[in-house]
Amino acid sequence: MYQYNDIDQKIVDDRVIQYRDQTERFLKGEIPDDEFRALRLMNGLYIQTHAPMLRVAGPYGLFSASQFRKLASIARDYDKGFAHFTTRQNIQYNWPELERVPDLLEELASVQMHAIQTSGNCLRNTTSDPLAGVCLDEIEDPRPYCEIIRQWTTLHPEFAYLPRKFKIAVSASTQDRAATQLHDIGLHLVEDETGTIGFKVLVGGGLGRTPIIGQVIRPYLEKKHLLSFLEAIVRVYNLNGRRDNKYKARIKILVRETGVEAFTKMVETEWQAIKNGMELTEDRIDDVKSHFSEPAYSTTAKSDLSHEQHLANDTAFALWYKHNTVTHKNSGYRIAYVSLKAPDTPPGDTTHQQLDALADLADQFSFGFIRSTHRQNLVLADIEQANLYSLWQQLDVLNLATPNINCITDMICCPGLDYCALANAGSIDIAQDINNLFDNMDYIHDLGDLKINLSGCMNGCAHQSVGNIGILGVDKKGVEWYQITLGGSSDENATLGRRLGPAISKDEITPTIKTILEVYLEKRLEDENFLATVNRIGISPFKDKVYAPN
Amino acid sequence: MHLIKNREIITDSWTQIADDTIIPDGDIVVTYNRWLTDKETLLNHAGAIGVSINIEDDLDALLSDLEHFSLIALNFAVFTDGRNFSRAQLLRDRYQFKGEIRATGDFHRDQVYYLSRVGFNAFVLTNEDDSQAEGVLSALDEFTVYYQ
Repeated sequence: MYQYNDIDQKIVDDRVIQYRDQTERFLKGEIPDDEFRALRLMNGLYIQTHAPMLRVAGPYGLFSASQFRKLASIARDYDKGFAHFTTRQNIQYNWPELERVPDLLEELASVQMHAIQTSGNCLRNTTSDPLAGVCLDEIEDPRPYCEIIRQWTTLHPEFAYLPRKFKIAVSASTQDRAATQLHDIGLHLVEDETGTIGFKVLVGGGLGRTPIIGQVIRPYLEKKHLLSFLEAIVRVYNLNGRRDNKYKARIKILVRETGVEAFTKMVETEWQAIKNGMELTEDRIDDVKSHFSEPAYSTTAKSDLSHEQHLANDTAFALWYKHNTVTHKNSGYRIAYVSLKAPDTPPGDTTHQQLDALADLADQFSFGFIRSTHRQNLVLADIEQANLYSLWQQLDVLNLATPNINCITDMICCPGLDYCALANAGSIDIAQDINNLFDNMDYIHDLGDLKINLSGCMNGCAHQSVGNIGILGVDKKGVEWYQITLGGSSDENATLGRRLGPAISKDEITPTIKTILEVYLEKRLEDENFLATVNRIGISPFKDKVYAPN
Repeated sequence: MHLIKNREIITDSWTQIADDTIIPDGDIVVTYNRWLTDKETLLNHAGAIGVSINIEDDLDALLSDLEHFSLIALNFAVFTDGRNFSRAQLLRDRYQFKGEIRATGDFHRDQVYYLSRVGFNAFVLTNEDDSQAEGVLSALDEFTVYYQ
């Protein structure tokens, strides 16, 4: 994991001092509301329904055990004991007092964390594959490049007042677990014809009110040009992106209105002018890479046979193993998902006790590291198979072992009306209704891979337009209604869901989901998952059944 | 009105010229439009020439004239519009403009550190308050290290 040097530490420390001064001047009335709004947003602080909400950066979703302990203590001291994991691998606290946020930031800085640029119209937290470094299908660990991008984006003086927010995601695998096609910039590590690794660059993807899939503007970029190319894209955007309408201000609209060819030409022209002054040296890349070296894996891990016995003797463990663990690149190890989707909790929420316990489990079993995923779960990435049973038992006690990863109850869900000032409709309560409907694990597992994404408004924080089933809350004359889409996907075959039909009322949501699943179960071919069935038969059979006159 | 230039509070020696006034002697700042309209006359002006550019003005149209300017004022209509940050960066880095780059209009103390990093070296403060000028001076050094 990347460890701060003196410069990194000084930057976050100076930022705390700067923000403390800004807060004090605001409280003294020296900074007007609209100015302070821009300042606090660039530090992740929103004013929400009940209280401010602070978003803490989780750089590419990687945390140490000591950082988790700090997150737990902050949850106790500044929140009501909770921390919420977001789709950008970040953490949100819903109850901090504005006056105490500088203290909170100081605590974060003490464990090499911050809330810099977690909101506002600036360069946001760079996200990546939660299985980076341990999965079978990647060509290189993407995290060193994420860290290089993190440093470049942090307090970038030119790009703090962009037309709109700007998000970058990096993936190095055949399976896209970072939704890179739905980011302002998506980077894929790829090989050229000589086998040299560089980047494929996508631009203009995004969700929200106008969901668009990103387009490739450069099939191959040498690593040394990474930052100059990013700078060229963001400069073209800063100078040319629309500022007259915030709903048309994202780079995806600029790319669409300019045309991808003309846009690419603008970027290439800008890049030619700066590329030679901004090259990344191999030394620099190697230095950052050295922070992500492999942990000391046991060479005898695979000789353990005990977990086979546990799998044979304990069906609950076997179920968890099947659904919540995946293959590790080293035999003898498994990657374990920690489900934050227990039926009785809001998706993505953790308690301070869980965070502390997870820190201990990470120390005990996974080299002291924890990752967060864009589907709002956590990952303990390096579990020896001999330790899986013990890990499962402890996660089970903590209510973190619901065997539902990628299943219908593993929903992405925004805070909705319960917390968010922007929301038009509830989302956590809908998630709860769906959980209540699906309380039979056998049925859930029979449904197989099925991703429901659930947002309480058009801003689409829960990525509903790429959910296999997307649910979008809308307000109709003060009443909560929901639009349903089917067939969306955020993986390597990213697709936007198609609208099923007119919005439905809140009490019709669960019956409608049930009907959709009946159609799926009736029509599916053997081993065909929900998305594949929708792609094969289209949405008409679902539509006909859902909107059939009774 | 205070002017901070190169980290010092100084008196402004430049005269801002409206489009319909006669050009006086001394160092003058003209608008983008005035420059384009009266360029031939202004080239014979004895004093130094500055140009004031609004965000809707086409910077590219002035690139071949940069040698004639000792000052470029980039005006902020609204502080959230970040285009001037890139314009200043380009003027300094790409077009090697060595004169004064001055921030005018709606920018704030909490932006001056970034503004100085991209090439602004002068700031026109609209507030008469002395403490504000002191605040801006200290804000210029809020960070001592950076990545970019």
